[in-house]
Amino acid sequence: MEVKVCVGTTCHLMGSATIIEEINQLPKEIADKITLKYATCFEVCHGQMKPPIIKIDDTYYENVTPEKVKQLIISKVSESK
Amino acid sequence: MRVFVFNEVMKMRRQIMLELAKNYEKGTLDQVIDKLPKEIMNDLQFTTSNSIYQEKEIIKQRIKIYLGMDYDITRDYELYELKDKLDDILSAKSELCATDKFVQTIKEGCDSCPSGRYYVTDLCRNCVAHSCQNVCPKKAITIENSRAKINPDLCVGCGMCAQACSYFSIVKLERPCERACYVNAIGKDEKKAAQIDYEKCVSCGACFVSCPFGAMETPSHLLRVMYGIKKGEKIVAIFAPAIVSQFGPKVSIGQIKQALKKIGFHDSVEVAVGADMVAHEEAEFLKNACDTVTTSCCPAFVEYIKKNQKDFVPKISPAPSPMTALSQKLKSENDDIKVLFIGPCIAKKMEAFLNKKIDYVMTFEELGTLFVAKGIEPSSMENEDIQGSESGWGFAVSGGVTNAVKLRLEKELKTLKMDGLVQAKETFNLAKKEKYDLIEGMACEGGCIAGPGVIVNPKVSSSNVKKIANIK
Repeated sequence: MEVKVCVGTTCHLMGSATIIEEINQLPKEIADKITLKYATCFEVCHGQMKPPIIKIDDTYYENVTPEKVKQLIISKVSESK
Repeated sequence: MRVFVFNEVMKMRRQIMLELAKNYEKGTLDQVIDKLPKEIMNDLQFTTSNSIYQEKEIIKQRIKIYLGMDYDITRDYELYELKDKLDDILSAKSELCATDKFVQTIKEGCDSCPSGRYYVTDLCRNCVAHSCQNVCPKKAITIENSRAKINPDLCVGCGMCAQACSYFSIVKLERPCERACYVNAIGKDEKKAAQIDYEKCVSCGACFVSCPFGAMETPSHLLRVMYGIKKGEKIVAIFAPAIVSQFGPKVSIGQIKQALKKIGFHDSVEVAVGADMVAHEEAEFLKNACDTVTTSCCPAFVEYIKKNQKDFVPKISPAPSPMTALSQKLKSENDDIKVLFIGPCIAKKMEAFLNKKIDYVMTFEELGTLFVAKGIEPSSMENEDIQGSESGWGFAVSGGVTNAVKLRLEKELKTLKMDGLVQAKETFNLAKKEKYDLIEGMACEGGCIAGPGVIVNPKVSSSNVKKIANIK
């Protein structure tokens, strides 16, 4: 599973750094199943989606918080089992 | 070092600034300014107990502060009244502009939270011992409904009950701003809202960081800078060493340097160059100095000495701060430029106001907003070469100045470090007992990378700065 976190300026200002921190602190059994990538602007935030934005495989998630991302990844990983 | 949590106050501040900056960039600010609070309200999801009217009022006051206006003077102004005054406000000609206050309290936003009292929490188990009741010298504690209760009329706030309780069930209620302020500059006004005593305030920004309601704000130069760019001013942007890792893992300092030029600044220069000049000057001075020298880089530290340690005023280093040193150099080479300092600091606004060598001061937060408003993505810029020595970049962390000076000196130095105003009293007590050659002072614990205007967790940026500067 590929998790892309936008580190463009808008998302960065709205807290994407804290999301990366959260992902880096995930337990090993989950961290092993994902690849974390940094992305610059997905070009979907201008007027449509609210930053910070992440992309898991092919789906965008807007207005995420560290807690939301953690839940999301954990549930996705357990689904794919 | 401060525990850095990205929170809703930061988010709100950035969103409001962003709306202002975007609208100014589009040229629509004067038309929409009175509608902005409502629009922003729709975007933000508040979970406070405030009514929408109060939230709207708070946003209104914030907008005025972000435009660079003085809260105390403009408190009663409605936003529509500013429509035809915007030019005067943004060129700082208006008498409504903030001048000598660098942190202000938005009274509408202040929760007037309780302080100074002791309070028995739910943790009280109504134990057999009742030590709290027995230890209280004023007999202020009674047991009601199976729980200890403090009579506020009798309580003198000695705190002995809190120490005596085996369950730690008695706590002291403190205001976050008061607790954070190590110079005791925060009091209360007649309505019990926080009030800053500017005779004591050193503009360090600790209250700005700590207030969970975001009621402490700093008048911004962001829109003034945008106005200056639009009017064709030749602004040179100089950025503090603490900029290391502020714009995320994908952005290098060289790219930020390039991005600043893209914004429309005449040039962009690293303050690390100024730091080298200062380190050199301080080392030269220390070669022959027979008395203690204190650093002068941190304006809040200098202000602390001026206000609280008058004996040490003559000992403040004659070298200017890196910001001032660099600005003077740039202005001597080119006399029609204006200088913008970009840093993590609120106190630099005070320094700029006092010495008049710098025209604008912005925080990294504000710079981020400016990038977004201008549609510039630093990570897509080309990488420029970086000036300044390793030790110059090290000025951003506590211990960095000492390190840079020591590198330039052959003789041994006896140094003392004040890492944060929390250590101020202790440091100066030591300095009075023994003679030290150099006292390094940083008002923010951890150094500039933990300043009030940073974007990134100081833990992350601190280790990156230390790597660059070879500080262990």
